[in-house]
Amino acid sequence: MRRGKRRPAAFFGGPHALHRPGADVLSVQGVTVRYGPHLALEAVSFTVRRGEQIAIVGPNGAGKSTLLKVIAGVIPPDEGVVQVYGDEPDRHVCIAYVPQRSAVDWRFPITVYDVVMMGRLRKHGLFRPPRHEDRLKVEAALATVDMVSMARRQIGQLSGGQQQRMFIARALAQEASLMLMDEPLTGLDLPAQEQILRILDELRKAEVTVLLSTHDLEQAADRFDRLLLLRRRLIAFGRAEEVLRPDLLLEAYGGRLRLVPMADRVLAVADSCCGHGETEVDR
Amino acid sequence: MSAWLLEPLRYAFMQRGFLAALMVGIVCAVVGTYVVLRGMAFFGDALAHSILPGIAVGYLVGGGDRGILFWWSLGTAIVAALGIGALSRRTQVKEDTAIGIIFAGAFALGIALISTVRSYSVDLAHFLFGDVLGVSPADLRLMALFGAAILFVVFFAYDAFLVVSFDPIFARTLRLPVGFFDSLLLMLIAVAIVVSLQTVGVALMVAMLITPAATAYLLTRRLPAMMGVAALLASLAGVIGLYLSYYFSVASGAAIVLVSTCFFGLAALFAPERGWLAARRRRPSAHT
Amino acid sequence: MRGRWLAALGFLLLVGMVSGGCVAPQAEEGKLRVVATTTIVGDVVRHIGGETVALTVLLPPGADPHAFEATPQDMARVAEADLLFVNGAGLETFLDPLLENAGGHAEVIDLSQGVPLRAFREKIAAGEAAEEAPPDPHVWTDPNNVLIWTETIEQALSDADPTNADRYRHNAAAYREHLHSLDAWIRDEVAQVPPERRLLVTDHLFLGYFADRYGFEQIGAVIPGYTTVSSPSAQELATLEEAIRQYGVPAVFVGATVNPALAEQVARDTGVKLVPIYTGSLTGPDGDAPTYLDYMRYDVQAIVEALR
Repeated sequence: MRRGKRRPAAFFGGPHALHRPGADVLSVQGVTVRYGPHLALEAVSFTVRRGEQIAIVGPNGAGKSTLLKVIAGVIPPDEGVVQVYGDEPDRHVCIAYVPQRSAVDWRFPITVYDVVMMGRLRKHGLFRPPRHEDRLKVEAALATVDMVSMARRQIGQLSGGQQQRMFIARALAQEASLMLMDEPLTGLDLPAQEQILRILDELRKAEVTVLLSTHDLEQAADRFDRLLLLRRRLIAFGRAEEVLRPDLLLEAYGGRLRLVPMADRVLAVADSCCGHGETEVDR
Repeated sequence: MSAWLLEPLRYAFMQRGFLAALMVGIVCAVVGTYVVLRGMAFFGDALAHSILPGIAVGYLVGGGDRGILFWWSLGTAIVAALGIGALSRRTQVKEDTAIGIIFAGAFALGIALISTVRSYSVDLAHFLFGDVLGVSPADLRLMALFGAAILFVVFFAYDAFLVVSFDPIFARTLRLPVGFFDSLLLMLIAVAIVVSLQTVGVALMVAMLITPAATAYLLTRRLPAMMGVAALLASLAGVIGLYLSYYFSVASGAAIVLVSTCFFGLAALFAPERGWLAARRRRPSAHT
Repeated sequence: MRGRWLAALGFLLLVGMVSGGCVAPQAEEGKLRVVATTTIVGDVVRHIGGETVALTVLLPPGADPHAFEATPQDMARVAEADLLFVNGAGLETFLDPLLENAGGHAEVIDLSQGVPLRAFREKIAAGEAAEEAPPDPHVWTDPNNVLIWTETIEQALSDADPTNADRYRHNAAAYREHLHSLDAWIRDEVAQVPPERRLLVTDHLFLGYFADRYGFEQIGAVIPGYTTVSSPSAQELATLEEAIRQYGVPAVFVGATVNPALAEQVARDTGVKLVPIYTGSLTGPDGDAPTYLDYMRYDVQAIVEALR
């Protein structure tokens, strides 16, 4: 793993990379990632401006999760460069990453409050206890996600939507400038999804940059500044109407796709997976 | 009644035994909380067995000097912990088989080395099953020193261990040195094992690490409470076990482990939410 | 939450510091408290001390003196004892750590003092010089050594309890009479065995003093060396069987404290008889050898029967 020059002070805490003035929030250049022989991402390049909210769309296996992990600094790219505010993501603590839900032991003896407080770890220092300020931020984060009443519950008692909101609260408590979320809406019912989308509106007001991946093209088109269409390579990146074109969608999703006409445009709704076979185009 | 409680305490060797059992119980319970939560029971058992060759060398080199034995055990334990830890990290999936082969081999090596001494069987029994009545004041001081050091590190790095254990990917996004803390935890387990060797021995060590913590897991909801309850249960088991050993002349290490296991059995049956009876009482239609 | 930690730490440190020995129980008024290690030592001490002393024997009947695990009660008895009688000469390997840890104020009386110790030498052990071999601790198989024991015991008891010194002297004298009778009886019995058949193969080499005194030879043992807790190698077993055939030994004598399977194997391979005797311990009150005198009579009779 490419470690880079890690300053000793940064090992346990201490100053991290400053945000270079004038640099883009996020700059991805020629990023390629391989898992063994399998190519997950190929020469992906794009930049994101501050305060934008970007939806990453594409079929399963397109590399959406991988892309988010690379930006978060969880895995290094095999080729290419990721820069957050002009520096490697590894050197920043202002990046919040909310992975897909399943990665955690739900029987761990901690409460919702404990999990959200984890987000404050860098703020109060690794070897120092939380301060009053940290408690306030945690409570504020819990309020934003409407989980204050659940704060003292053990995490195994949460529903799917509540779990997701808890992790978002943790990301909020981090006071991150860049939020990366891996399919936060998948598997939630509509009210729960709406709650999360409302939080995104709050984040927009706070000028937090957001990248999230989703399967729901309609939502993506509706609520996000730009869409990033991904299938190992960057197929398209831009506003909804530029990206959600039948030819581009066909390239991304391969076979199975249904195009549904709306009042002023044709919306493409993707079926579950990237199969081979005929394209059904209903007009 | 009180005479019956106080009688064993008249003897210095019993007092030292009680102190040793208490200290070891508390330290193993605290460290064992992480072992249970992170699913490291097999690792803990493997590590305890892998120490035997180091003990053997210390035994042969020092001729029974407990200080030399302690330092050899400690060195071996740390090396073994880091080695086994590295092994299970190198492959994505924990290599149960490789670890099993290595620890069984190390254990056999230890027995072979010890058996080269003609009158070895009693000493071997002590290494395998403990010798808590043989704890000397010097042993007690070493236990106290290293036990306190372990608790201090756990206290100090509590938040880091919590995040690294619960959500290592999140820890990585916070830029915590996850590998460092993982290794540190392995070393704490190693030192805890060495400190505790004299009470229960290599063969029963894993019980000291996991049983009180597993019992506490059934009874608590938060990590600090789990550690506290585990320490309490371990202390009780140590004390009761030693009384049993005194009055019924049974091996003390085994007595302590048996009491601990009984506590677990009781909790497994009667724990308010997670016990077996509680689960049965919940109506089938209700679902958490 | 963190306060709890500091408390635990403090507790631990405190506890560790208070690790010195504490008050040991004081000896009560009344009988002299005496502890003996083996049943054989205990028997002799009992005959001399009588009802005047409170005697505890550490090893139960049938236990192996070479491998002994003290229970807490044993250690408590040692901690409270006034006198501790031991066989000595390296028999009780468990003793030093036990004594160190039990604490207490017992005076250790080593009965091997004054007994002429023989070094371990053995016909089929190759190239072991006499001065390198350790002393043979099984001194009791020659009653004349036990005679010396009685003097040591009488002296120790009288020193510790002068008011009863007369009684101890009386008891000791009486017991010595028995020992003299025993010695004479053994000589008569042993005369029935022709010299060329006075060859002893046992499970472990405990009859050295008997052999020296009464004209026997220890050919070998299933377990080489004088301790019962080691295991023979294949080579050692083979050498033993060879010696048995070479000398035409008619019987192998085995005790209860050693795994009989090895001895059975040797007997089967060489076609000799397996004769059970008592080796390191007396039996309980209902057994064949509840006292030292019974023990010697039983063993000598068995040996003479088999070799005659």
